[in-house]
Amino acid sequence: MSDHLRMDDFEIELKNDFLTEAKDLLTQIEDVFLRLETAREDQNIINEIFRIAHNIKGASKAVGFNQLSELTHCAENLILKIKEKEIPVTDEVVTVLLSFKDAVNDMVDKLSSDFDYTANIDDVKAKIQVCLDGKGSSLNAVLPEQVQQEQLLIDPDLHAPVADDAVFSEDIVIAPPENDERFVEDGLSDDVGVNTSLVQPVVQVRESVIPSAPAAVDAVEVASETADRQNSSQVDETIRVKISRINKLNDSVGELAILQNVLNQRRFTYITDPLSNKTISQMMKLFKEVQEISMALRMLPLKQTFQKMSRIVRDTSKTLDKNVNLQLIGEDTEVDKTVLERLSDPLVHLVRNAVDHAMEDKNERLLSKKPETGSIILSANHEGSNLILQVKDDGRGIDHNKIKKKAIDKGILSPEKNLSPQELIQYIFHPGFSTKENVTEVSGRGVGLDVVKTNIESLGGEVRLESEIGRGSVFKIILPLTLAIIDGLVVVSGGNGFVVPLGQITELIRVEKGKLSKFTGGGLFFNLRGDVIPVYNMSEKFGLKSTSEEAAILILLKGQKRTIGILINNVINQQQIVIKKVGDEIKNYPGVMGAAIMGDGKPAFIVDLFEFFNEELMSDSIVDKKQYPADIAI
Amino acid sequence: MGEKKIIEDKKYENSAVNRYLEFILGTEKYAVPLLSIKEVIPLPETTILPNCPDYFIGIMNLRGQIISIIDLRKKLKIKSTVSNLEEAVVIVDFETISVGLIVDSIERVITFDESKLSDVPQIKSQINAKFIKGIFKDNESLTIILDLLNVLNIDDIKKIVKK
Repeated sequence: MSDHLRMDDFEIELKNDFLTEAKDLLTQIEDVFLRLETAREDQNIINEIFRIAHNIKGASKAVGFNQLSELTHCAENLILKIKEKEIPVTDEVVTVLLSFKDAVNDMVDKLSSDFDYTANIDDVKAKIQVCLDGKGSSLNAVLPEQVQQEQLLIDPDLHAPVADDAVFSEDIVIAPPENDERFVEDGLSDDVGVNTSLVQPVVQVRESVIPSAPAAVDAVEVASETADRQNSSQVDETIRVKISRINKLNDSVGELAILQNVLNQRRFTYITDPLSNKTISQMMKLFKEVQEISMALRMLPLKQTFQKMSRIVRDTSKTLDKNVNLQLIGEDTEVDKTVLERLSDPLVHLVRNAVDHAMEDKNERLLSKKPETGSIILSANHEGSNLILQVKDDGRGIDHNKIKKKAIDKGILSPEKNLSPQELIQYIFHPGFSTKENVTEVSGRGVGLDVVKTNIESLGGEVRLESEIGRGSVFKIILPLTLAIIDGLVVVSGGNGFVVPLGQITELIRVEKGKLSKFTGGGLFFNLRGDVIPVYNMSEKFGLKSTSEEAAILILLKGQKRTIGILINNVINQQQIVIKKVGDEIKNYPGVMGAAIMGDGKPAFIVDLFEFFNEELMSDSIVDKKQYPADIAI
Repeated sequence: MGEKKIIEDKKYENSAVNRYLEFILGTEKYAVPLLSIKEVIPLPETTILPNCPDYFIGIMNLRGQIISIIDLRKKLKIKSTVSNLEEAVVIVDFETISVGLIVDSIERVITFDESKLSDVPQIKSQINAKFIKGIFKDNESLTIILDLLNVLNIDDIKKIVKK
């Protein structure tokens, strides 16, 4: 009874392991498929695809996902034919392979939550069959016999492809005695499905295989090539770590940061012993290193997200019959996992927009003397503690006159307003704004760029746009590298400490006594280089006793509608702030982003000024002032 | 298999004999299940969050975790004794959140069979009857067992805060 139970657990574990590894492989495969399209003759790419498909097939069968192995088997036949050059790599073939990949992807996803999931694979199988039927006889009928004659030497340290009985297992039984090792391995895997590892088998051909068995030769070649690659270029070894553990580590490191701060403050004052002081100083250096490493653990390269974009550009441009070339720059740029996850949707939106809206069709491009193939450049790089992402197209650009007209029509812009072209085009981020007259199936479903803007802003970032008619547009996304740490300004207001995200502050101004004017009705105003801006008291707004105006500092906050000044007492310092979560009971408190622990161990609230002063920034009741033109620099 | 049995044992143990932490609020004795308590700490420094009900004292730093502090006396509308040095904060894990409760002083841990818990009698108490889970009668004194779920109506707090 209990044995049986354990067996089940074991199986579940195997299946889960397989699914995680399959997901990794699928990510690789996407990239490879897309490369296939541009470099169709490249044998390495086909070999790579075959290797991955083969691995998934073998492993899925071993853990009992028969439908998955059936589908991969089917696709494998097609890939073999391509390898044989019996089937040319046409657009149709690439499309079929991609839809096969999607189907596998989908199945792996669904299987992750339900091991018994069965998909409808007939469709994809039929498509593959159509491609196959274009040429020759069925391959799998021939395969087993050929493999029989193979003589294999298996490196006992490495796992052989498991339970891949269509190709190997059945034959092993009648194989010559040299294959004993292999037999043991496979025997095991038949019984308990031991080996789900997708680790590439190291297989060497000891005796050359009969020339009339080309498929079998290739299968072995692929394997040995991979083996070579593994030996020559030693890739970084990796282990899987639960994200919760990394978070726990980061929490502890954050705690340590506070403690070492306390020690540091006491150095040379309370602590007089030279050795202790020296030790503290060394410890601090070391600690800084530890902190950097622990933060880096959450960082992942953008590669996967970027690859998804290649696919989107490919599919979208096919649908719209446009020629678009996507260039990816900085795929290895790393970004916090949470940021990465929430970045995907906005990027998809921007890239899709670029193909659909920004890119002209072939004729239009030729008329305007542009190369027929449009270019989209997606790039990523680090700038200080920010991640900069750019989507740049050489399309038609955004016509500010059209935007102006539409904005006025929609009633979101008053006709008298005199704005520069660059200011006008920012209106495409306005909720409900869409310039394309016809809504297409590709993009433009009513939700527009405002969603992109909101998403990016919720990550503490911003989107900037620059565009030139006829030349193209650039969307620039500026994001913090991590959500766990922000650059913050520690300020004091009404006797309380607060942390304000540095990115929100436009300017800090020291206000001398009597420089603030009071209007009838109570509001405070400040004359900023000729512009009158309303001033609000941070502590009053927070419900604390009010800040005295003496030796006060004004934080300038530039909202969409207007700029306001926020009065505080003092600025303590600027530092990297580890954001601590607050409990569910207060996390919805307007303006509270979280809390930070100050050097004295006391917590302080991190205040999102835009949310906290939303009312003041958005209300129409205050005398309209000249807006600050959004300075856009790319 | 073995693990399951242990868990069952634990459950059994808990249902039979419950242990409670007894503390003082004003002049009366109260108690909450020991298992819901994470730890007891001296009154920490807190940072206030304005526009909250008066019993919401603010937030504190518990070894890197931010925890909200509630003054149980104010929440139960019990007249506080003159502030004393024995004031303590009981950190309870409550549903998905941890909350610190300020009490006047900690008394002891009491252990008794659940069946010995008498129903809420018609006694004269300063607090709302729905906050009381039962009464534990010792030789001479009475201890009110609090129903934390009702006392800390988190939805209430959330609503206030959202406004």
